[in-house]
Amino acid sequence: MSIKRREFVVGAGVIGVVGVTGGSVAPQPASAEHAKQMGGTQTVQASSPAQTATSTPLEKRAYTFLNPDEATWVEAAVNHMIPADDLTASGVDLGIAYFIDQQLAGGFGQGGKMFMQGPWHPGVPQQGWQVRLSPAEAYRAAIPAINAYCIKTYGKDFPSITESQRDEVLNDLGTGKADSGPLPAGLFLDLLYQNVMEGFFSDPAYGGNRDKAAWKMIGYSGATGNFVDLIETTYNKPYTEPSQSIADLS
Amino acid sequence: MATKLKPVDAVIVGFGWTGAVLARELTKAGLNVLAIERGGMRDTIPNFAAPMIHDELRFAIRHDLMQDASRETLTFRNSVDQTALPIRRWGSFLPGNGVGGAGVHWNGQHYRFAPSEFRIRSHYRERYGKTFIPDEMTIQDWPVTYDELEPYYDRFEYLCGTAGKAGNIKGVIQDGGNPFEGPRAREYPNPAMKRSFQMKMFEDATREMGFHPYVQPSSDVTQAYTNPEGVDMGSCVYCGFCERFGCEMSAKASPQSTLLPLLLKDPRFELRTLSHVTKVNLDSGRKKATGVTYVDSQGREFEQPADMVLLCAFGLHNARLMMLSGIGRIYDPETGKGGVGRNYAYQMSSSVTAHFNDKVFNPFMGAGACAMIIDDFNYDNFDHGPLGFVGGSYICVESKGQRPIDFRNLPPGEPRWGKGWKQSVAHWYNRTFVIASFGSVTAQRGNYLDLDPNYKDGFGNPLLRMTFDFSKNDLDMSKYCTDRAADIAKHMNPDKMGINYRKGPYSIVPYQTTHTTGGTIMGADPTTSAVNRYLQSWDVPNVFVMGAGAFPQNPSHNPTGTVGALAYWAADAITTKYLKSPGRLVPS
Repeated sequence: MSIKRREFVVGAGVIGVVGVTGGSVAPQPASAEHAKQMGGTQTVQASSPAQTATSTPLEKRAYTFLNPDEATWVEAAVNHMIPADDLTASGVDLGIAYFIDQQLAGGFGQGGKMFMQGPWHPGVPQQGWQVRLSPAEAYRAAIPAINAYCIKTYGKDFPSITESQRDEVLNDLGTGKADSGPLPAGLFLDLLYQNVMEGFFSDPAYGGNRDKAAWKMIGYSGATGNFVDLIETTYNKPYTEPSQSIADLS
Repeated sequence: MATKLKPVDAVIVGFGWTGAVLARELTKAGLNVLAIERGGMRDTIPNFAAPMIHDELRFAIRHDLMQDASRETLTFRNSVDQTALPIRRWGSFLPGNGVGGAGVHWNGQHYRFAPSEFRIRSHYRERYGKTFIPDEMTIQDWPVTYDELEPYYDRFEYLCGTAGKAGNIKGVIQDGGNPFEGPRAREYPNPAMKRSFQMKMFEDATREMGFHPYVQPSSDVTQAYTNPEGVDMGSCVYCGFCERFGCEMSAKASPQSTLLPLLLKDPRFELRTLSHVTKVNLDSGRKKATGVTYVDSQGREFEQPADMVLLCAFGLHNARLMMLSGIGRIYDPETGKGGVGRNYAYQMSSSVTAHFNDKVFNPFMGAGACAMIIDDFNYDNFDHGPLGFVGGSYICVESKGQRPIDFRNLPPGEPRWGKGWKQSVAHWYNRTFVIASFGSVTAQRGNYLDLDPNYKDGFGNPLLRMTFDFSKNDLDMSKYCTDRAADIAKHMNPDKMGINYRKGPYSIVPYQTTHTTGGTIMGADPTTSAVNRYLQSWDVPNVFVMGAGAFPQNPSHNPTGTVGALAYWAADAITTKYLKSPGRLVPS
């Protein structure tokens, strides 16, 4: 597997960055479990100077909502959905687990704009979210339940099972075959999936989509906003300007 | 104990499109007008500034400009045998909040309804026979004709600087426009939007198939424009951030970009924000409104006396405020009696995805109202006799800016995550477009709004309750039109395609459209409508009720053009008729 662009280092015990010219690179604070998954120490591919010059300087980032078990779980799920490959670095390295942590700590996770008055009833699926839990509470309730289900079914918790077993668990969460504790079938998978996609594709200002990797992957222009002279002149031609984030344009 | 304030001539509840139009028309007529808005002040500068506004997560996904459901929502059920539960987070539709209302975050898709729509019940009975419309289908003729509304459609389009190509000027069909449209007095104020590659492909394909493509009329203005009120608007740059966003260019018509600068300078006008109207106050005979009661941010209650009350909030809120205030009779689906809450309707949306290995579409380029349309399967532009359903859809390719959290259309059967998914989305994002179908919803006896018996808002008032499901008629219509969209896709020979039919039951979870209609419908009969042809309450004649709540059913095309036209139509009736002789404008 060739990693196209890894300007930063994952995991404990890594002491240096090979070939990076930016000088403003700091290690990503990943959990010990995550470092283990990533093979402990990884050889970091040299970035081209051009790539590094346009990279956002990285800072140490701490989780403010997820506890260590939850962090390990979310990192495993994020890297399962967004694995490292030729297209991008892994989801965790792109900041998606950090993004989810920050979203859960903030207004979205705390259900800030959700109507949370009772009485509560399960309702029917077309009535939408009817559990008496905020999204953050849903993660807190679901993760131990799913780990317990994995231990019962596979003998290991979710972060420790194989890739194909993880696929199976996630699909079974969708159908309700896998237990997600107090949550109705499908709710947690939908929530997790939506949050992973948000972290992958949202502006890097929120902590995910590091270096606009997801935007570059699909050829999305980002926060750029003037195509008046291009929309009729680029028929069937790819847009070649770099993706721009809000920070790039600020 | 409410503090009683100094009276005003007219009080407007909710400051979006209709509030802005009425405020302008009534202040011009010499009235002192107070607009009360529950949300905060917002203006192009600084609230919609770029690059901040180009933030998909904040505005499109987290609904920054929308109503805060934690404070007020509505309850929903499909039918009377279910218990309605609160919509705890928005999905299917997105009510706005704050100055400008939904006029800030709309796409700018600016239509007129077809002439036949205004007499839909009569029209279908005449063409297809008296038994064609089933008993439970409560569609009604409008109490106003297309020809009567035409000057007001024109006025609102010129206010907005709408960009388009006329299809019918004074009965003469025009090349390049929509030949099915009703006659208009003159051309659009600005030239039509540019065509993206995918719009051009759709245009060519539909023309080859014998259909009649036209560029969507757009209030995303295509050149620098000064509207008849003297307000300067900018020119659209096709940034692709319209729907759910404010426009940093003042190019998308909104209350802010068309009227607000004048109103804020007008000593006859006052805008009171962060003030929540809880009811319209009536006199002891309950035939006259004395003003409104509102609550400010600190919980202080105020009584605002006014000679006239104009309900200009979103349609759902106007219906609720009428019910909370005891204006009119709340609809009862058992008896079919009562005009308020009657004929709630929505919109049928569905899509076909077309995927091309060897083409590149740059789907992020575009504007909210940048689209190629056909109306060949809309209204009664096709023979419904053998089909057996009422209504139709417009079919289109939209280049409205495909932001990637929301819009990643992959061919059927692709993985949802992992390396395979990444390869798929990396390949298809730029090689896919959607042919969408947006269709009518017929009014049905069992679809309505009333007050919820179990849930309340923070002021202790019952939430609105929505009882709604898609009817067989509308599902059949949508299936038929989706299949026509699929025919068009096949004509373009895509490498892969997917068909996404709209299926029942209706769910409030996935976003569909915010084109909720009905609940305060206009009509000719006081027993089956809430307001008369001038949007005046049958029961309390100094109350007028604006918005898409007045539509007797959902005609398919987007509502805002008709919402604006009806506001001008009502304002004209108020200033030329009502003010001279306050009272009922139509005998009941």
